[in-house]
Formats: sequence, structure tokens, C-alpha cells
Amino acid sequence: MLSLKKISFHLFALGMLVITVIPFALTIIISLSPLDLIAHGEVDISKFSLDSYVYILTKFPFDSWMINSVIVAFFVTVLNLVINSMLGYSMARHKGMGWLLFVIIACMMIPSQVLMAPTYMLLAEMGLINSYLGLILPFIFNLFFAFLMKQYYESMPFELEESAYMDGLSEMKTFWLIIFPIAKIPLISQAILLFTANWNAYLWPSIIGSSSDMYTLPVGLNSFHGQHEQFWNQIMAGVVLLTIPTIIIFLIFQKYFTKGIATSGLK
Amino acid sequence: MKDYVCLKDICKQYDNSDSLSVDSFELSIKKGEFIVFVGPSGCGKSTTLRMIAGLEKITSGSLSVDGKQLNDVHPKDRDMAMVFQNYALYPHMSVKENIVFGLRVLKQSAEEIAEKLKWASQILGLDELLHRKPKDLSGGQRQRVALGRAIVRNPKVFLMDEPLSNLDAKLRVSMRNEITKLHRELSATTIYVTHDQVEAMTMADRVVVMKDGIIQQIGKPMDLYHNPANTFVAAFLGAPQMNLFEVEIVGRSLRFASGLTIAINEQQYEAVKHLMRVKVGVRPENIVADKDKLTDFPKDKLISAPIHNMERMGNENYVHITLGGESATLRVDSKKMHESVGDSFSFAFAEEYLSFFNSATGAAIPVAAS
Ligand SMILES: Nc1ncnc2c1ncn2[C@@H]1O[C@H](COP(=O)(O)OP(=O)(O)OP(=O)(O)O)[C@@H](O)[C@H]1O
Ligand SMILES: [Mg+2]
Repeated sequence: MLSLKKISFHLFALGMLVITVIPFALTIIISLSPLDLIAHGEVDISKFSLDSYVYILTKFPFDSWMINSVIVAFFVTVLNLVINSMLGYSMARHKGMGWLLFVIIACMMIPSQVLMAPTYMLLAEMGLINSYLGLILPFIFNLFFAFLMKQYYESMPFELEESAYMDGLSEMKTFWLIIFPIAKIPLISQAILLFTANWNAYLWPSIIGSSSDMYTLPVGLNSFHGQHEQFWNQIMAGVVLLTIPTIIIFLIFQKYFTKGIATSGLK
Repeated sequence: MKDYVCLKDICKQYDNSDSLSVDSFELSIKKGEFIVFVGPSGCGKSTTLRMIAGLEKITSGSLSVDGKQLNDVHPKDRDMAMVFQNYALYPHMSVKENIVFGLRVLKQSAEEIAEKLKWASQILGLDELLHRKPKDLSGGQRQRVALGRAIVRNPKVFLMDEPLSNLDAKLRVSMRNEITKLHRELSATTIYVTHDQVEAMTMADRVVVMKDGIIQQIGKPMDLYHNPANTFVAAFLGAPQMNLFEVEIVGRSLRFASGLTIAINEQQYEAVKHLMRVKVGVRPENIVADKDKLTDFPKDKLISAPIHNMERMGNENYVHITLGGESATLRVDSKKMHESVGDSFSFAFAEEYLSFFNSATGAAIPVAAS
């Protein structure tokens, strides 16, 4: 039976859905419309075309930006998964590392903007400006996720590692074959969050990637700004293209994503 | 046969502890033997087992298997298999993958692996379960998978730490028999840890009784039962446990706290005559309570005492009586039992079965055979 509570919940969910969907619908509509119609705030389905898409895909190095984005987001995500779980695992198992936890929590309290200038200088010193390494290195681990992994591994019985040793595995192999894959659920939700965040990242890539061959997609999109005119339809076409991969990833891993959020840290 | 596993003077002190958790553990195990470590909680059984496995560092002493010193060898190189109390199955792998994981690590051929998997799953009745994940199994099934994982490896030594303690009573009995049967077929050297004296008595070739990190006695189950080295072993093995009384030696008799005196025979007297007091032990089955048999005893040997509690086991009753402040347990055929709690009950000691212990140290006092 539909109670008042249920109905109001569904109305609430519907409202949230509308709020999130409307901007996205507008993005698609604008990307399909000619510029003069947009300027007058009109929508005419008969004039919809893929011209903006064709334009940005042919006139800009969209493919190389896409590749840059994929490389950066992919490596940042993979390195994060490995390093976060290694960090979390060692903190969970070596109680003597308690001080590290303190350091981590202290570091989490520093706003990332504060670190930007010194990080830039450091990378410049290393000659990594305008390189993949410069885009990737500063983000290869995440203290917050490392902390979550610590919570996860603390709830894992240590007999698991011990039976892996008895089965003939070294510590390192035990990590790769047992410890790492066991955390599949929290790692998948981490992967989705990290991939999306890095795929969409703008600030750092725009600082480090100063030449257009090192642009990632979001930085490249920003270069659509004309001197005097805003080509909104082209920008929105770029946004749609930018969004598609994250939507696909989310759809594939949706099941794990919600599970991971619900269980991370608990077990 | 020569010794296969040798533990020499092994001690363990945990870093955060100021006493020894295992003290001078000394044991030699023959190939194919089934050894059970038994003792109350915290006596150091798991610690010893884990030192043998290499999961815990040996503080001092030496461990060797098959002539090879193992103190500083990583567990992965010891060629042992362990069944843990919580089974520790890999949760992200199916039953089949769990079983063959160790073989894959050893890089055995696919045919060999398939053959061993088939063999183990048949013995343990896992055929139907091979594709399930551990979380979808019952406790008993998990236990069998853990056993399977161990037996396919065909290791030098099997180590088991209370593998049955998570099962219900009925399953425990049947798994106990499974493991014994398996051992008979494989004759693999096995070290089995339990706090359950029934498992120790029924499964072991030899039992090691421990208390507070110290070995109390090592021997065949029946030897320990009939000739316990001290009051601890005497009371630990057997259920209901052995009755122990503090008695005075007066002439050729024992005087109980209640004032009751019973005569002892020549050999017993020879053994205890130099002492003022001893502890005397008598197992419940050696107290005669059957009315037909009691008629054979002279009047002065009959004892009567009030019943203060009674446990019905079905075929027999455990009758608890109070004898001068001390409590004693008798086993009585339930068909011949008509008294109830509060009634006075008559019985007699089968005196040839009395055991004697030093009342200060608890050590057994041997009595020459008559
Ligand atoms: N990691 C540890 N650190 C410090 N002391 C420990 C540790 N593990 C065990 N001990 C101590 O060592 C002693 C022996 O413990 P152990 O686990 O071997 O006992 P056990 O005989 O297996 O008992 P149980 O039947 O309860 O499993 C205990 O006093 C225990 O408190
Ligand atoms: Mg234990």
C-alpha cells in the first residue's frame, strides 16, 4: 500500500531527478541548435543538426585531447587503487604505524590550493611541466581513500594472509593475489569516483598542460571561447562528448558503486 | 621409525608480554602420527601450532622437520598446510579455486590439478559445491573446503587449530570421524589443536596436555586416562571428571574430611606410607553404586551421602553427592536409579582403582602393580 511517506519520498526523488536532468537536457538541446537560435533562447527541433559536433571533431585536435584525458584519468585511477590499498593495508596491519595515521589526518586538513604553488615549482624543477608525468604524479594517491581502505582491511581476518603464506605465497604475491582483489567492491567505487573526478579535472591540467598538445578535454573545451563570441553550441557539444564515457562507466559499475558506498569501512 | 618433527626446548614470549606463553616445549613426532594438543583456553596451544607453521616467531629453541631446521624459514617454504578455526577461505574465490589455489602456486600441471581436485571433492563430498562462493556455504561445508584445500597439497605436516569448534554438536561428531578416517587413509603427519578432551581422546595417536604454556604430559590417550601424571591431567581428561579428595593417612587407611575412613591395600600403603596427607583420585565409573554389586562389599566399606544434584544423560545419570564438604560425581545406570535429589545414596569405592597424588605438588604417586 502506498503510504503518505512513500508518496512524498517518490515526489522528492522525482524533484531531484528533474533538477539534475534539466541542465543536461539543455546541454544536449543547445549542442544541437544553430547559434542564432540560442542567442534568442528559441528551440526549434526542425533545425537540430550535428554541425557543432562535426565542427569540433574536425577543427580541433579533439582526438588527441581525448587520448590525453584517457591516459591521465586511467593512470591516476589505477595508481590510486594500488597505492591506496597498499597504504591502507600496511596501516591496518602494522599498528606501529599509528603516527602515519596522524600525519595523514593532518595532511587531509591542508586545502589543496595551498599545495598548488609548491607542487608546481617542484614539478618545474623536475622538468615535468607539459608532460604526462606532470599531469599524473601529483594525484597518484589519495589519503582519504587510503584511510577508507585501512578501515576495510582492519575488518579482514589476518588468517586470510596467513593461509596464503601457508599456500606458498610471499608477502608481495599475497598482496596481489589475495589482499588487493578481496577489496574489489570498495575499489570499484573508488575507481569510479577517481576516474570521473580526474576526467573532469580542469584546474591542475590547465596549469601544467600549457601547450595545446598536452590539453586534456576540459582544458581543450575551454579554448572554444572566442575572442568576441561564445560558441555555446560547440562548447555544449564538447561537454556532451566529455560526459559520455563517465556515464558509460557508471552504468556498467552501478551495482558495485552503490554496494561500495554502503559497505566501505564496515565490511 | 625416526622422528619426523622435532621441537626442542621451544619457548615463546610475545613482545608485549612479560611471561612465557610457551615454556620449554619438547616433543618428537613420528611420520604419520596424529598428535593432539589439548588444554584449557590460553594454555599456549595455538601459539605452539603457529610457531610450527612459521606464523609466529620462535623466541628460543629449535624446530626441525624431516631433518631440516626451520626456525627462520618463511611459512611459504615450510610445506605445511593449516586449517584455521575460522577456515579463512578466500572470499573472492569459488570453492574450486580455493581448493586448487595452493596447487596453482606450486605451478602444477592442469591435468594434475584437475585430478587432485576430483579426488579431494569426492572424498569430502564437495562435488555439488565447487562453483559456490564461501559465503554461500554452511559452516560444515566451509570446514570441508578448508580440509580439501589442505589435503590436495599433500604437505609434510597438517596443522589444525580447533577446526570443529564452530560446528554444532552433531556435526562435530561426524566431522571428527571424517578427519580420523581421512588420516587413516592418508596417514599424513597431523598436529591438531583442541580444548575438547573428547576430541583429544577419540582422535589422537598421542595427546599433549598443556597448561599455562607448560606440557603436563604426553602419551597415548588411554595411558593418560589411566596413568595421569598429575591432578591436572587427571581432572582434565574424562567426563564427568575424576573425583579428587584431600585425605589424611591414618594407619593403613585414608581418612576423608567427612571423617569417613577406608582401608587401602598393601601396595597402596607402601606408596604413601611416608606421607601425612595425599590427594586421592577415583573416576566416577570406579565408584560402585549398582545395588546388586554393593551386596558383595562388607558393611564397613559402604558409604552413604546425600544427593545434591543429578544430571540425566539417558542411559545413565550423573549423580553429584556431597562427602564432607567435598563434592563427588558418580555414574549410575538410570534404570536402577530410584532416589532423587536430597535422598541419601549408598556407594563404595572400588579401591584397586584409586590413584594417589602428592597433595602439595599434585604429581602422581606411583603404586606398584599387585
Ligand atoms: N599476539 C599476542 N600477543 C600477546 N600475547 C598473546 C598473543 N597471542 C596469544 N597471547 C597469549 O599467549 C597465551 C597463549 O595463547 P594461545 O592463543 O596460544 O592459547 P590457546 O591455548 O590457543 O587458547 P584458546 O583455546 O583460547 O585458543 C595466552 O596467555 C595469550 O594471552
Ligand atoms: Mg587457540
